[in-house]
Amino acid sequence: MKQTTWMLTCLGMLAFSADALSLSPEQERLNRVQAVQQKYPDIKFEDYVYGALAFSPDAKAQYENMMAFPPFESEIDKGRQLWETPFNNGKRYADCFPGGGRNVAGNYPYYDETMKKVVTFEMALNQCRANNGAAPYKQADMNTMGLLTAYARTLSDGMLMNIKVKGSGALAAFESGRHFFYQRRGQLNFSCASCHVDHVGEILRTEYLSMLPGQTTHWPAFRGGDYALFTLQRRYSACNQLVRAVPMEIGGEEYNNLEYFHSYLSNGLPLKSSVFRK
Amino acid sequence: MNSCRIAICLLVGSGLVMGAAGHGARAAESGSKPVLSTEATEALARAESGVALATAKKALWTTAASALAQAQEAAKHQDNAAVMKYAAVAAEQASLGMAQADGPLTSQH
Amino acid sequence: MGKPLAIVTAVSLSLLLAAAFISPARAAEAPQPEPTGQELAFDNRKGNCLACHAMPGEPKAVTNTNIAPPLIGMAARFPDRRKLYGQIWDATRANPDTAMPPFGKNGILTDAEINKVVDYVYGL
Repeated sequence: MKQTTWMLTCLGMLAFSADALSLSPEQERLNRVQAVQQKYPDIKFEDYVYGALAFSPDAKAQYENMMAFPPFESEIDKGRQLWETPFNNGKRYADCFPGGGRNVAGNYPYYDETMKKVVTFEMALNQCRANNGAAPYKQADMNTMGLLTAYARTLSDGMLMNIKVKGSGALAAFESGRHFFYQRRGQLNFSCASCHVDHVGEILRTEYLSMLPGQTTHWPAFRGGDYALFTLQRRYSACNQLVRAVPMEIGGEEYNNLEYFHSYLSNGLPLKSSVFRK
Repeated sequence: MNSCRIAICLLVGSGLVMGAAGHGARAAESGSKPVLSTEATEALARAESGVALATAKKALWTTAASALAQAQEAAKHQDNAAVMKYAAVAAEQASLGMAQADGPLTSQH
Repeated sequence: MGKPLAIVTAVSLSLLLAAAFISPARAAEAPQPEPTGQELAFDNRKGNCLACHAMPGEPKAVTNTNIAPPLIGMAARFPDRRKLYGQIWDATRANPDTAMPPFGKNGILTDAEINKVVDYVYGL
């Protein structure tokens, strides 16, 4: 009995020390950036925002051409209408954010000490609706929330990602997102990191694998031949499905924590919203 | 004329026989096996609880979910063999998902 | 129309009718043609080998991948066939950090399917 207790204590201490050894958010970010720099010294840090395009000058040139006159411009305009239409009380989304909503998206997600949870930009938009007597949008609905962010986030184009992790609650949320990123899931047994850390810049059949730093800067995106609108969390859901894992809820705690970790790893990189991606 | 009547009679008759046979088969199915076998019922229950546990652990695979749906569909038709087959897949895929969630993280070296 | 002919026609129509009743059930039970090892290897719902492995000696293999070692000279690289089988069944045993899915362990392929893939890959 005594021996068992002793062994359990030891195991507990081991678990504790392993936890304490996990890297600080900033060390984790630096490690991931440096690993990409070592493997691809010719790719500039600020070009990490282009993800897979950063590895292919041809694909990048095609992207630049398309972005000169985006074929999905009218969709962004629908989002602008949503953003500019006043609530019943006469107030607007712009009244909910400092600077009328300019240069704010790079501060999201943040950890809210009062609510004890991660708050994404989409949650802030819904909070704005609630404060002005409007029902919240479903975060998975691309025709409402998706379009709204497709415009609202463009107001922060050029802002540098600026995620903060301070305090034990914030750190726990970051760690939860970190765990999600490195945990294998689905029948195919991939973690996010299996591709986007271990095989960055390599080619999966025909597609380059993007690097983790920069991945959260270009959302939402209009993807593929039909320019389907994807928010970042819709992309998470699609990725999970591809590895044959049942996706988590878009806007739920798991994906919010993942987005928190994921966005921190893009700190210092400029945002650009409503872009084309394959 | 007469031969045509014979032909029609044969056609109608064969149709009736077929219909009766089909009905008989269905009656036999629902008569002798009105409910799922105990084995199949238990297998389905195991699969359902396995999938529920994996869901709670946020470790459910799409393969487990779809196999369970197939088992439940087979149960509606009292197809014991199919229930057993799909329920076993669902239970196994659910437990593999849970074991995976407790596994080591990748890319830590 | 003569009598015998009419009866023959009626009987054959009846048979056709019977066949029409029976055949859907038969069709449902009829097994799909078994995929070959190469088909399993190429199929992106099955082996999907080409997502990560090039096959330099296989003209039909269309891929730009450079993630995992190309599949060539396999018989020389895996003198022990069981080792190749084991690698496909669960590659995490040899390398816990591998990105290769454990095809057997996770039930992505059946044991029989893995054997077919091994036979095919062994010839590369």
